[in-house]
Amino acid sequence: MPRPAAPPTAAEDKIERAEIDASTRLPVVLFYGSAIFWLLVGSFFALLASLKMNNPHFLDQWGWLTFGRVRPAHLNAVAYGWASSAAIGTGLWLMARLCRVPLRYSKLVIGAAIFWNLGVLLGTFGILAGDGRSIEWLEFPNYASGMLFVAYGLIAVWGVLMFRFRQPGHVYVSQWYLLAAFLWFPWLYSTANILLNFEPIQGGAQGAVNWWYGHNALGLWFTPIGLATAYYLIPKVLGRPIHSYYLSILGFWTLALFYSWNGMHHLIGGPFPAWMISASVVASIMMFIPVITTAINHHMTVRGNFGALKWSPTLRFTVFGAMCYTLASVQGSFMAIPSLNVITHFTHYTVGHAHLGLYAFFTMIMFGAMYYILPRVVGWEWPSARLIRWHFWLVAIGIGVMVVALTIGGILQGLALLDPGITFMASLDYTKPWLLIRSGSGILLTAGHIVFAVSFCLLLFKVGAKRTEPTLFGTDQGREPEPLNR
Amino acid sequence: MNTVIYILLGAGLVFFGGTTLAAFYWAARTGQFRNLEDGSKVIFDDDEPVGTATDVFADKKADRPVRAAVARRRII
Amino acid sequence: MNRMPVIIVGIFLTFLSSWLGLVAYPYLTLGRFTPVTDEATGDINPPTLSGLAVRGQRVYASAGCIYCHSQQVRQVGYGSDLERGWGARPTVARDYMRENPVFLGTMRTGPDLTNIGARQSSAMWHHQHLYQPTVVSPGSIMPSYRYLYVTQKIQGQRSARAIDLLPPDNAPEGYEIVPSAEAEALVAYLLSLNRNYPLPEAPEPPQ
Repeated sequence: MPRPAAPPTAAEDKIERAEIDASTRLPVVLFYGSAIFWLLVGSFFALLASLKMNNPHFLDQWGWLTFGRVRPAHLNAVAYGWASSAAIGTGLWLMARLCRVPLRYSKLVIGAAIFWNLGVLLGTFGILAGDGRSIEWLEFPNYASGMLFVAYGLIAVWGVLMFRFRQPGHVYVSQWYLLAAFLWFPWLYSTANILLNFEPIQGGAQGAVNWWYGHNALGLWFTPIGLATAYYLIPKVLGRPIHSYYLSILGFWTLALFYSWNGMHHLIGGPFPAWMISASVVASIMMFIPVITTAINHHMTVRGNFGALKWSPTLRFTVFGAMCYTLASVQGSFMAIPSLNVITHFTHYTVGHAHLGLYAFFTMIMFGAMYYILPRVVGWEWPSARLIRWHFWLVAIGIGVMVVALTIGGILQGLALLDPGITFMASLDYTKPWLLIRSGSGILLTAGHIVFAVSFCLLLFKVGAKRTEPTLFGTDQGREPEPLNR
Repeated sequence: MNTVIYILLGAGLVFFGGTTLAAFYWAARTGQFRNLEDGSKVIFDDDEPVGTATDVFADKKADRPVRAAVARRRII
Repeated sequence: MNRMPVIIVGIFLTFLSSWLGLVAYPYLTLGRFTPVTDEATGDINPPTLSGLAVRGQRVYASAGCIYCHSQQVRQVGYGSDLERGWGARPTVARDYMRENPVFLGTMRTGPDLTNIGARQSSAMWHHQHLYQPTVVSPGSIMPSYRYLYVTQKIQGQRSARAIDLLPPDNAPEGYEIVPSAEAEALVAYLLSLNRNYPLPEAPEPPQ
């Protein structure tokens, strides 16, 4: 679409933006709808797994519900079902907005949505049926992972095409991150699956490939999309440009360089050459550079306007997420230091860290994105600010309690394991009360997800009075529609 | 067998390090690092300009007016 | 930063570096081991697995044992694995050459299993432990794997393969509990887990 000769007026901007948003409606709703479905499924499996750790006899008569299958079913449902779907849906909308063209080649992305959902469905049930591969993050049997790969490939092709036909002009930082994520992920996924599942290499080398993939799924797929989202939503909601674009460039390239080398920090002390593990420890500590860079950028952009968190749901979720990105990454850098790793490795501390990253950072930012994007593509406002408030507090408290409980329990467990004078069973006993608290937090989280799902359905089916202004905290249903008068 | 691996790794390092340096040099020369600040404003337009929050009710102003980004100190 | 080719080349190269270091290199150096013959005893190390144990690896994967158990004895200076008696020596990459997939694990909700075959060399113990782990190991939170066992009516004589349960669990009157093929395979695999043999890169440590 050629740019008009004179700069567009405000009215033309609004129409162009509405057109772009409308063009993304079906793919975004498809991906977001699937994401929320898998969030509920994944939460259910998570709760089940957590309860089984509190009481091992709970539902242990059947193979298909044994802990060793429910736990990977949870991981895959939330990682590939919820998180990846939300990531793609957000990425689609962001790409269209930033390329300033309506979404084209929609058949590609709709095809991707179908293949991808089918893959996650087959894979999750495959794990419960006993076909799980027991390779962490890659448990899906081949018939499922093949479908996911096809789906992601379609997304990557779409991403390049959209970028290619974008409006001329500056490329925004979010687009670098999105393009990178869309291109890195298929390479990661295909390499790992081929070398571990389709044509497995010898066992001695598998661990390295496994954790190169596992860490990069987080660092080169979820993190860039989470950051792309935060880099767009925070300035957009506040109406303030990102504080320092120079810092954004530094942050992007240092992330690209260092993050991909982190993988071996999952295997410190393991049967691998010292230089590989050392390289990963160094890279993990170098991660301070992109992480602090991003933290400074976001903080300085919001500075002076933290009051906005009181009325904007998008900002509240997104800033929470961005802060937890810093927290989780700094924690991760410390965990890679061998003298600390020796305490935390093999304990629940690692599980807590994983949830700080994937939930408190990534999932919260995705919630923020959904609260901003859905009204704009569906053309309907969130019917109830009260539901949004409940959603926020349930999940914020839930994840806070969970991370704290697993951190304390993990440290106690790790210190006990370090001391050969303390029996193994004693290390297990230290964790039990904290695992009970974790189940409690799981109930809060699941409740929050149900509230969100209800909200989403009400929005989708356009329940309530037609509103012309955004839904914010501190307002409620039953308001008279405001006349359009900006 | 081991020597081949070291040669490969060494070559990879040289290639990679060299390309990184070349890339930075090229980027600086072709002006990739100029006009960076304009890039940060690309997400705004006349309808949603700098200084206006985009998640606000018409009648419910933000608690404090959103401060426009004016003459910020540069970190780098 | 506005040109697509620039960004794509950069994305490609940064990624390539880690692919070289953490994928290609491990494959070349850690993925093509051959077994070695122990000069003193003539054993082939690591030992081959019986067909039943290979099937047991699949049951181990299918049941998800790695989500609570690790299989790596860490190097000296990294934790107290050796002091706990979990192995005579740290494990090295060659130990895992016959494992597919490899079960290194990242959680120790249960103890490390690298040498469980050496620590518990009785098949009956393993069957009992799989069927009633909280009785065999009081305080354990391991679930029961009785879905791998069949409760069948005793036909004339008790089957030679039937397992004895520890009180308070017991088979119903006139019935016996027999491992399924999967349970037999899993136990065969667990019994094979013994890495106390020496390797050139990992000789037996002095006592």
